[in-house]
Amino acid sequence: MIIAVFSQPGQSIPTVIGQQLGILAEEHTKLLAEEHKKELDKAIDDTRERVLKPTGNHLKEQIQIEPIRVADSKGYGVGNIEVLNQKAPWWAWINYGRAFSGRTIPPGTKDNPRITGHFVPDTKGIFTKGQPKFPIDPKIAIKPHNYIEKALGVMVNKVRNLIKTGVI
Amino acid sequence: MILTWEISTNIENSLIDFLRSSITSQSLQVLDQNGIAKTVNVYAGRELNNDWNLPLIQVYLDSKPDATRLEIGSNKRLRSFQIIIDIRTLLPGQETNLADWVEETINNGITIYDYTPNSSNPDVPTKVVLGHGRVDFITSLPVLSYDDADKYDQNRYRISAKIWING
Repeated sequence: MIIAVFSQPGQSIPTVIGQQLGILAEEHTKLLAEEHKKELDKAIDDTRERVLKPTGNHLKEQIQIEPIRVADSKGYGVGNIEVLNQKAPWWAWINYGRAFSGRTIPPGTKDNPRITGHFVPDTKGIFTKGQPKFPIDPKIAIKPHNYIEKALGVMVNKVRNLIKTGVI
Repeated sequence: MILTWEISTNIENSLIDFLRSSITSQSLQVLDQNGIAKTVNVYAGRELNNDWNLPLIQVYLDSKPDATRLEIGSNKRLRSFQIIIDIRTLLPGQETNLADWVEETINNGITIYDYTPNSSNPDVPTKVVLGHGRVDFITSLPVLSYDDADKYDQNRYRISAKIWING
């Protein structure tokens, strides 16, 4: 990619180049953050084992792009750990196959008698609270979905492409 | 035709073979809490098995992120196979040291074999060299500690890496 840099009379060329590079770097960082968010969403969707529950917090919605300001420069982060820990604490369980509590198998009625409900018809596996209340005791551990690593694995090439060609 | 091991399984098993033979050739061991030397085990599979012995290196293929065509007019592709390496140890700190060892050991790449069933000795499949797999590391960091983590998760480190091969 070739970029023409113009300077006004009296302006220092290195300063103008520095400013242009700063703008370009910020644009590229934003582009990569947006792409990373897309790849994380895709990795979550691709490894989904149950249909998306229509209500409640969803992992994908809690992973957002946030601007990060350090002095005069602006960067972007994808996924705020504090937000995730609060609103989608199962992010680690899904990725690493282990909950913060140390669990691998979701809790059931034997662990907590209040955990009862029923499978919603025609939803391929959505278990919900409310009547009729049947006990449920999961037996299968949640396997690691590795959505973080999957997304990063794709992003490595996208970063290289962006640096090489100026486009993702 | 009975389908046997294809490239994904060949790569996964080649890496496991390589790590196992490196452990054997270097007599790699780590100490437990009583100062007794324990040999490092290498296991295959995404799902943790409660019969596995610590310290261990768990290896499995997770995804195939790249399959770029090498040239116009050819069906040959440059493929990558993303591998997850979960390291689980008995004592804190050992997981990081073992991760360093793994990274150093596979950094120069690994030989990829094509495995075929061996009816006379099913546990030792026949293998022929398929090529050399280049290794690119993607992530390398300790896994979060958990509140009531069991022995397998108290000291855990995860490496993800792409293994590249032409074909």
